[in-house]
Amino acid sequence: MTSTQWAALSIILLLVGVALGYLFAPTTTVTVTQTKTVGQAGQAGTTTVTVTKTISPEGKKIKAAFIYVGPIGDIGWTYAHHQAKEMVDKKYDWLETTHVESVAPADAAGVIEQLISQGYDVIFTTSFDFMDPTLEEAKKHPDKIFWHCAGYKRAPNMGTYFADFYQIYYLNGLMAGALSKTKKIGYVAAHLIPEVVRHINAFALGVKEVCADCKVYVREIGAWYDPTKARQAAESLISEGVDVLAFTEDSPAVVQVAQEHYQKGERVLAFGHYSPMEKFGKDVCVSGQLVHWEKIYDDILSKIYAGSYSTDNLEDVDYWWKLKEGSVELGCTFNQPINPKFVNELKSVKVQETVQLPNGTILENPDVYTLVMARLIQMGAIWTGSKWIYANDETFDPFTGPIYDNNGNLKVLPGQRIGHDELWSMQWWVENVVGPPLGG
Amino acid sequence: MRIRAVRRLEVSKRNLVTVRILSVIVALLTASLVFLAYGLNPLEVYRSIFLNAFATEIGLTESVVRMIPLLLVSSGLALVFRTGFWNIGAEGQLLAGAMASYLLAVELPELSPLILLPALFAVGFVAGAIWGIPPAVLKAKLNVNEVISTLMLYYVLYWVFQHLIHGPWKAREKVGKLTYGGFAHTEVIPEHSQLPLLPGTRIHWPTLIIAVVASVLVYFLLTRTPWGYEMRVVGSNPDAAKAAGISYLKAVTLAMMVSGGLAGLAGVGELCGIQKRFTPEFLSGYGFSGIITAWLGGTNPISLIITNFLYGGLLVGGEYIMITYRLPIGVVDMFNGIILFFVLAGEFFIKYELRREK
Amino acid sequence: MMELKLIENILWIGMRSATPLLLASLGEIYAERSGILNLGVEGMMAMGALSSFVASLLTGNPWIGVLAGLLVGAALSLIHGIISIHLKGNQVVSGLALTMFGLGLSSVIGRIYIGNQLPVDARFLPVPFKPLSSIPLIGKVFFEQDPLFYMGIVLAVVLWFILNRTKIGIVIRSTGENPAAVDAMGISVPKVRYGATLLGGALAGLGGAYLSVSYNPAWIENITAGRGWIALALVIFALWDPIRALLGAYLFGIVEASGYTLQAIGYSQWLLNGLPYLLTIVILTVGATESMRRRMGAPAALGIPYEREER
Repeated sequence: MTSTQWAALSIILLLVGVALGYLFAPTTTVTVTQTKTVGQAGQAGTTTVTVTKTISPEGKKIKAAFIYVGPIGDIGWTYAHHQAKEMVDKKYDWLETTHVESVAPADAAGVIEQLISQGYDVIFTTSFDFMDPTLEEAKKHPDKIFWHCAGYKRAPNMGTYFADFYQIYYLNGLMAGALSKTKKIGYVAAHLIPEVVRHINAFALGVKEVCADCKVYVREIGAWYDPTKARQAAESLISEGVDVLAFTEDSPAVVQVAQEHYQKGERVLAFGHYSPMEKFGKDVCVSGQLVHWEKIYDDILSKIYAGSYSTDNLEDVDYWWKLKEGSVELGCTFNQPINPKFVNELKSVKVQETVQLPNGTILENPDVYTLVMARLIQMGAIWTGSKWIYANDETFDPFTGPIYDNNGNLKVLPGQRIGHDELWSMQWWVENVVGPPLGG
Repeated sequence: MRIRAVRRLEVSKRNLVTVRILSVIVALLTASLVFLAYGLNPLEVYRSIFLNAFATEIGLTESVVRMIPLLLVSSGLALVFRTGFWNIGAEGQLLAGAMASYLLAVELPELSPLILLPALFAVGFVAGAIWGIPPAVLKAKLNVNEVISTLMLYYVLYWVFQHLIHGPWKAREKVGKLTYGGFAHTEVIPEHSQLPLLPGTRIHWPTLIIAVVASVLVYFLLTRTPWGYEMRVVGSNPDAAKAAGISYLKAVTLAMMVSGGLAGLAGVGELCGIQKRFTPEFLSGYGFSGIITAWLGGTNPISLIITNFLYGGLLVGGEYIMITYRLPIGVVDMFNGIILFFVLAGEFFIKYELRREK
Repeated sequence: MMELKLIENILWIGMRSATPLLLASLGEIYAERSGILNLGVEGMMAMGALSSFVASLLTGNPWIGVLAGLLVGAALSLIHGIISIHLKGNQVVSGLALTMFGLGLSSVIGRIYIGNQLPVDARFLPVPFKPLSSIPLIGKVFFEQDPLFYMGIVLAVVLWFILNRTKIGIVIRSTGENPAAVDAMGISVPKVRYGATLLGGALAGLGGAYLSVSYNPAWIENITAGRGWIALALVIFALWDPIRALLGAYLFGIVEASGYTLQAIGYSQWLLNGLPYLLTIVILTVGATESMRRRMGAPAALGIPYEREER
């Protein structure tokens, strides 16, 4: 067969497919809630627009492509994005997806070109380093929709999204402060970029709330994924007297280290990161953070399908989703915010403060377990004991002043909150962090 | 009766081409097993790789984009390999060129591109050449194994580079009214320092022209100049070279300066033409792939250009099969590995012939 | 007391994480000593890690895992052997191809096992020998380790002995220096080189096995994360000598492990990461003076296919 014949055959098949799709496509009605986070200097405001649209039967198929920076098998960042993509792909029959893994930033633009030439009209780029190439391609292809994860540049046809963990790190900090006997808590960090710095700071604020004289010791390994280095850093922290570990790195190495120490009779506890890690440390994994990218992907793609996101209205669309949207979850494994092994111990530690819940209930000197549950409610995620319920309401934020940096300067005035934009450039340590110096 | 391998006195062009094609075919047949394991029709896969790497506009231009750095790196490597010197640190020389051009690009004011672009390429060449000299001198003076010294120098520079972009070179960036800082990347080089592109593509044509010219010049240098003659003698018969009073140091250092310099030019193209700023993942392995294409293509510019273009196409085709068949990246790596194994094996039949002996 | 414990732990962590480097470089030393340069260590390590992980997972016995790692590493090196020895192909390119192939294959097969973890009895754990393990400073370092750690030390000594004190060693070294002379003695150059290459592959596989069965007992893609290349640097750092490889590996590991303590007081971990490579170049340069040349052991025929002179 010549290539012309091949092409002809493909076109015929395509036409048959379209015809069949047309005949059998179901009629659906989708109610869409549009949330915009508009970046204004200093403060992140949220406007909500509700649009109801009836999707007509000829609703087109959406072809979405995902560009990953690492291999799918990293069990961390790329793995989580891929799982989410697969879930959304299965859920909607109007959606067709593909992916390209281990793409170097240098090749990202070329891969996007290939995807577009193959008819993909929504492109997700899932690494900070893809920011500039994504923007360039967005400008070059104004008729396609682009979404970039973890960056800060947008265009009329390019939005940004991120599932942020800082609230959960704060909650982990509360528990770490209660469980540490040595008053030394360790943190293994991949790279000290603003995202990780704010996570460490949120964690340290939680620690401080429960244990005023506890310190958080930070080690940077200089890689998003390197189990060998993560293990070295964790061991080195433990040898300096640390007995609770949190981390940002894509492998379960830190949890494994804690479990090994536990089996030797040394009590070292850990908090999981990114994917369920309970099986790597069933006796030591207290809680942790889990991600649900599928909530964000589902929302974005449904809105594109419904027509409320198009190529001219994404300039101000920045998903910065946290607990109340359900895009992140507290726990070392799904549907279990705190490992039951530690509940009693957490209930035995009281914190000297008053907490008011959104419904007016006042808690005087709650224990740490109750405090964690109360803070969850205040941040819009309610754990009923068997499932999560979300309220679109945030009455508490960990980054509320007064906050001092570790040189003793008052960084946040009492009662003030650090806004979205400052959190996105955060390059200083809160007072109880002992970490490497941070440059501009 | 037994079979004996006898070295061919002369390698015929026809034989070379036939063996190369045959080995690629055998390699493709072997790699078919991988695609069959995924329930795919290998013929269909190959057909679509080929069409999408070379027969569509995007495939074609992207293959050229990948070819540019590969051609520069491999032209230099092909030259230095002829002196019997194994430079496997071209990735480091590429990085040196890119880093030098970055320092110049962010400093220089808006000048005529006729001054600016040659200046960028010049510092890139010089930096790459400088990074290439020590292994040559170490080998000539102290007989230090160059495979290792070039690789080590790459690693040293790589970590210095990581230190710089995570520290001193880290830059804040203004977007609209806001300034973002703390991220591990450098400034974007100013627009006037960026290389012009062929409209609608990512082909930074100045580098493309330089690459093609360089591959011809290298051939000319090697075959038509006294320096090239010395390099060839040093490579093919070191003892004779010594007897003839040819300086090993001079020949190898010169070859390494050209090789490092051309890799440096590739770095300038990657920074000023493609990426425009440094990120931790700036390097994508052209310095290593160039070793393979240099070895396959040899010093003949036409053969080098074809080899590098095909290799660029292989990279683009690899992305294509990930997109279309959703195959894991590992399949692409295996595929490339298998092809190389068979081409390597095929070399034997180019250099040797099998004779039956009674 | 705190400082002592800290130093003890830096030594312990550093030497533990150095073991895969040591094992892989010991094998490569033999290959290179016989004249075969195999740049495919990273690929063989990755496949060794995967196969030993899978074998341990399926059988529940880490020793079977070790065996699988050895065999698979050797099998991969056979490809390099055939190309370099029989087909007299280019060893640099073949090694690079082997790395691509090994990493790719491990990623493809490994997809089935992503996130699986070895149960405790299917992996190696550091076991303290009491009371020796409580000797200050060195007790934990030498008496609280897993079997592969000790195997690394024993292998280094045994391989050093064989290489320098036995006839086999002389033959291997001569094959790398002057294959024609070995051939003239009636010893088959290809046989010696195949043997050394296979040993190199097996030990690279063992290094990988250490990563997945002892150090990080879970399957994660790209588990080697460039350690095969560090092992290649180590071979030179050690000047092709097994005992020096042992010391060099521990030095590399301890430099890396102490980085976490040093970064807390403001040292750049990036520059520290580059230090071992810089040291290697310095050693090469200093060690390469004429008087040292003879002791250095850089095989003269490294990377050069052996051709019998036509008579």
